Amino acid sequence: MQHQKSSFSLMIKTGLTEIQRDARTFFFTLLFPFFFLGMFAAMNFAIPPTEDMGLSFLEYLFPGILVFALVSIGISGTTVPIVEMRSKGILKTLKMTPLKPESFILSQIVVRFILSFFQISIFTILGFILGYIELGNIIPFILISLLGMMMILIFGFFFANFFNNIEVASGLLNALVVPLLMVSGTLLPIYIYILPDVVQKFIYIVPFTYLTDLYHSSLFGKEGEFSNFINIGVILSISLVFFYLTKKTFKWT
Amino acid sequence: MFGQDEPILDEYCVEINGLSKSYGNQLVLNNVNMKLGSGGIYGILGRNGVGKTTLLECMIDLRPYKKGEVNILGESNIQKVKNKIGIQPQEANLFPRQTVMEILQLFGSFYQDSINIVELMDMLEMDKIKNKKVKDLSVGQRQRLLVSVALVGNPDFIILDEPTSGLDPQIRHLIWDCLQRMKEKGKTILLSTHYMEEAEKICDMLYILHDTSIVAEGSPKSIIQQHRKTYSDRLEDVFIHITGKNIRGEID
Repeated sequence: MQHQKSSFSLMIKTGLTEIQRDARTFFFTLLFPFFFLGMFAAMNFAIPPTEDMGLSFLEYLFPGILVFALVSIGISGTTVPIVEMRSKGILKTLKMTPLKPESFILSQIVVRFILSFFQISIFTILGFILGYIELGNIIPFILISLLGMMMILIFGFFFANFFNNIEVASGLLNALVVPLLMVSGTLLPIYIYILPDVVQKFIYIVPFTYLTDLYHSSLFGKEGEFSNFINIGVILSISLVFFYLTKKTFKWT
Repeated sequence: MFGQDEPILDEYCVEINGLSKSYGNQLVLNNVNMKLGSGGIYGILGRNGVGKTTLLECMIDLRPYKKGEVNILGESNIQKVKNKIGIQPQEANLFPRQTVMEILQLFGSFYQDSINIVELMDMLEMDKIKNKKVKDLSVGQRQRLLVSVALVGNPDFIILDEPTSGLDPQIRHLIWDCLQRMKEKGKTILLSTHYMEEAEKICDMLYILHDTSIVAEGSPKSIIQQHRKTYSDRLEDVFIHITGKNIRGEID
């Protein structure tokens, strides 16, 4: 039992130091979202409040940037390192040891939760200082963030099963995720798009739509596009379905 | 079959019975049988791409196989005895940004009865590189680390897939000495190699894999003995005689 515990904690330590010692991954998973936040804070002065909720541009965008930060850890910071581990034969080496697959996966999840907890904490403090998060909203904000992180992390593991090449994984994920964040209302209000109805309906199948809506309705007390019950239900259902698919398709080599 | 001088034992460390493996329609291993006693160094010889790695990977459940049975340390379910098996795969890698010391601590933690890391590093002369990151290691240093990873769990059965491939003679001799010390401790070692000198010097028993089957087995001496009168007294010549001079297509 003691040795299992120490092997698990060493796996977590290894996961964290692998990210911390790789300047590129460290920058894009942990630091980049704060640059992003700074950039939008500057734009805030030039853009009028959104029509959607009467929120300032940065108020509207604040949760979206956190979603972006979580996506950086959950998808880019999960898919790419796991694809790298597989393509370089690191997973193969691990498979040959008594290490159980579930221990490996769980350790990777814990590593990402530690990183995201760091992100969420900083965003909570910033949000509180900027006045976007009230004292009473701190707990819901953290819980929604953890719920979102769970879903995003599962996507990260899911996508990792379909790539064998880091460059392809990185390129395709960026090409896929950034537009999804844009059309889901995470980074820009949905109303600004002049799109045909059919395309507008597409946003309802993007999971980030529900996460962003949940943030907006919980933080700002305004009525969202959907009820909290629907938002949470959709996020949990999507997470469960993708967790099952991820487990079914996970491969070591 | 040449040179069968294998001792008859009650219990074997490894027993492979009728193992067959195909890739699509291509048969790679056909009815392979091997019995490895406890303790000693066993070698698998074969030409490039004959299926040596496939055989080793089938043994440890890394590749599914069509027919046959593999028993290691009395268990057909390899997962149950993984704690007693140390493996150095041919195309393996380790976490690139971890140091040598960190890697050995991590892999040692996977086993219930790991060996002293300082002694292991001393045995493979890795003390000076213990703080070096994996990505900064030379080929020889990396290979020594991979061998160490196979040994760190204090396994009873060790599988090494071309452990000295591409290494200079000094490092090769260092690894041979290490394997001899493991053998003296009663460990069973199975390695694949292309080096006839290695096979002759350190292996107690050899298996020559050719055209999907084991075509010769026995001690290096006995295999040479079988051919001395008709051919040569060098293992390399005997190997070429048995496996043919033509260049064949490679399997994985």
